[in-house]
Amino acid sequence: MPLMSGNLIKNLFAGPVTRPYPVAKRRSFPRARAQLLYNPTGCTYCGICANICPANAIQMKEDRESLRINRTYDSFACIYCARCIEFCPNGALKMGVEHLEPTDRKAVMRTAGRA
Amino acid sequence: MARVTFPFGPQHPVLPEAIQLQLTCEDERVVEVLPVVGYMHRGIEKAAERNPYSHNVFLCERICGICSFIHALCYCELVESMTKIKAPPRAKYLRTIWSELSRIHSHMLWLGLLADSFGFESLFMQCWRAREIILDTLEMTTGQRVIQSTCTIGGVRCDIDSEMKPEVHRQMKAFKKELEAIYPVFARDYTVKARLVGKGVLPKEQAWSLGTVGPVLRGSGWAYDARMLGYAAYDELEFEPVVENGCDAYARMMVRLREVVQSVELVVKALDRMPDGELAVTARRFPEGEGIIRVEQPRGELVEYARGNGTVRLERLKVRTPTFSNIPALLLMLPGCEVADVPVITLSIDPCIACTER
Ligand code: SF4
Ligand code: SF4
Repeated sequence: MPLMSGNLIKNLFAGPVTRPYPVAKRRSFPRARAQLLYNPTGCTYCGICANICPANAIQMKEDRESLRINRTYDSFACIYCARCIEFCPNGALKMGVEHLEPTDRKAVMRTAGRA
Repeated sequence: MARVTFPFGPQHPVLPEAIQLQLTCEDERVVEVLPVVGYMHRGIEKAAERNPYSHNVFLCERICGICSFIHALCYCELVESMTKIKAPPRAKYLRTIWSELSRIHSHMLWLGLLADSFGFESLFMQCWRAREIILDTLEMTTGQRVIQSTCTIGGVRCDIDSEMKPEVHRQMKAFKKELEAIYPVFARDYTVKARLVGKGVLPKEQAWSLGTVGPVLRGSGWAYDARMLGYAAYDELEFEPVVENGCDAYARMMVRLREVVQSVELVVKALDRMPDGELAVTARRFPEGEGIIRVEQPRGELVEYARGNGTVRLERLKVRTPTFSNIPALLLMLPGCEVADVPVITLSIDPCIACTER
């Protein structure tokens, strides 16, 4: 215990290391991979992202009747590896640095394109 | 004396993961131990056979949350050897830096858990506070705190550029300062010594014959570390394994503590010597034939074996993790000890059950 006394005295006068979370948030790092931002207008529905996604978070399905391609993105399956961003030929995907809020509901994002 | 058999785990305050030890005791003394495993099995090896081989990097990272980067590195180096490509020198240095940062944060986590297991709460908090600096460094350089996803077949996916380098140096300096406050407490404090010295003794010969690896082996006096094989950039960093001769829980703790100091030095050295150049090369063929590789994780030697057939999928991926080799030694350390020492001795091998069962 005596070996700790120096640390203890220092800690006594130092402020807390933790933050009161929802009130004070940590500043994100510019490289943080926290959200996958998708811009449907830039997307050509080429399907590359769905092919290379290791978590199958992006899925593309052809709808033969309406002649459209349905693209779904499940942010809960996504592991935020940023591979899709590297491979997207049209720059329709981007990484956001702000972490998502905790949620109690799961939803997938659906878009459809190209007749 | 009547014998009593009771379960230790799978849910126990000192166990970060689920493993059960069935302890048979006479009075307060343990006479027999039987491990019960299988709570954490996830079928990762089978899943690896279904994925395209490049997706397995992300799967392998998830074998273990603490040493995720080293799992990815191991898989990437294995596939690189099978596809006959070589990662560029800068990528090798970056891999070394991130491996060592993973090692530091794993050891700091363990040191905190150990302090917690013998009731030294304030030391536990200080270890984890120091670890936060390393996690911040990892997030700053790679984008994620725990599962970095930066290693890729043929190299790495991001860089520590000249702007980031001084910041990493600053973080390492801040960490060193925190470590200097903690080190003497672990090394010399009466409470720590009373709970660790002479506990869980593993004699030198048995450590070798039972096939233990990592700090358990080095704590019993064997200078063996897979980093001596010189994968990544370790061959250029004059690496020397840390060895202690105490053969007990205290010696194993000291190995890890000294390894933290050594890892900080390795990170700084690798940062300074890192050559310029490209970050990754592309594999031009699919893995074919067989490959085997050994790398050093925080918990010991990790062995991976793969067999490919020239297609996009591997035929077999086999992962042997360090805790798997250390559990037999644990069964030898426990009989004869007091029930109160079981948590400390169990922790002294740094069990990682999710790794072991994959
Ligand atoms: S970030 Fe990774 S896991 Fe998420 S959608 Fe893109 S490729 Fe898939
Ligand atoms: S790779 Fe890019 S353009 Fe192609 S489908 Fe995905 S988001 Fe759209």
